[in-house]
Amino acid sequence: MSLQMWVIDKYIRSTGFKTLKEISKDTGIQLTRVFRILHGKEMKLKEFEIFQKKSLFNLDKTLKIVSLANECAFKLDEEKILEITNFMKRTIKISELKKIN
Amino acid sequence: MSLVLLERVALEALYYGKKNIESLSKESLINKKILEKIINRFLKEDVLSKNEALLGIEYKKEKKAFLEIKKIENIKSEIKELFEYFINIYLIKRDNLQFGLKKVWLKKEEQNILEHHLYQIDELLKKVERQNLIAETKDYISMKKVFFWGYCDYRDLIREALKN
Repeated sequence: MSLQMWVIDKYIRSTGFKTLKEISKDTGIQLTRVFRILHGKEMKLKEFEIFQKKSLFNLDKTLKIVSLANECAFKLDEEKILEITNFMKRTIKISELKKIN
Repeated sequence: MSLVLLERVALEALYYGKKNIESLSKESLINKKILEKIINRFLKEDVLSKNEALLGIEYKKEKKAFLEIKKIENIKSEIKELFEYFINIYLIKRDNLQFGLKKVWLKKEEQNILEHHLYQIDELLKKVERQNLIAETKDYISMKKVFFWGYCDYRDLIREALKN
């Protein structure tokens, strides 16, 4: 999946906004432009930044998992780290499989 | 190569014969878009072959992929994933599922009775499995029942929990 689609996907998952109207209202991007972007039209840099900024709204959740992963790396033995790594890889794999773009 | 449940289901459906993606989707309940991703990966790893529209498992060579699938760590992950989904659905719709988890002290004769019943369950399932293999018409893979059974000493679980 392209970076553009990833950031849109992250945005939709973070905000829960699904309709063009909701997304347009939240981002300030014109409705017809939102439609085109969601259908693969290349984003302008400014539009990308808007989506990225909005999708990092749940920054604290993202930071939490990163800080936990760091803590695991320090506190746990290699076997446990491998177990958690494998679990995370599998979870990402399952998520990617189920993503229909 | 380790398998996630959706990939395992797709492979299992193909154990019983070659299929096209439409029938694979119908019997596995997995939509075609997801199946395409799974199939592409398996084709790339040489686990499946495609002849016209029909997909089949490539049994011919001793595949690195098959050997990896059977590794203990990969099997463990698969069982954990399966059990996780089972627990999730059990806790939501208890009525339609059979599940028992008990921690009990057993006298010797009670243990013998239990082992006898478990043996009977095991024999029945083995018999059904054999019948499944030879049956001419097979039902959809998604219509199978999933069984977990077994018991162990609680102390073994505690020791496992205490391991570093």
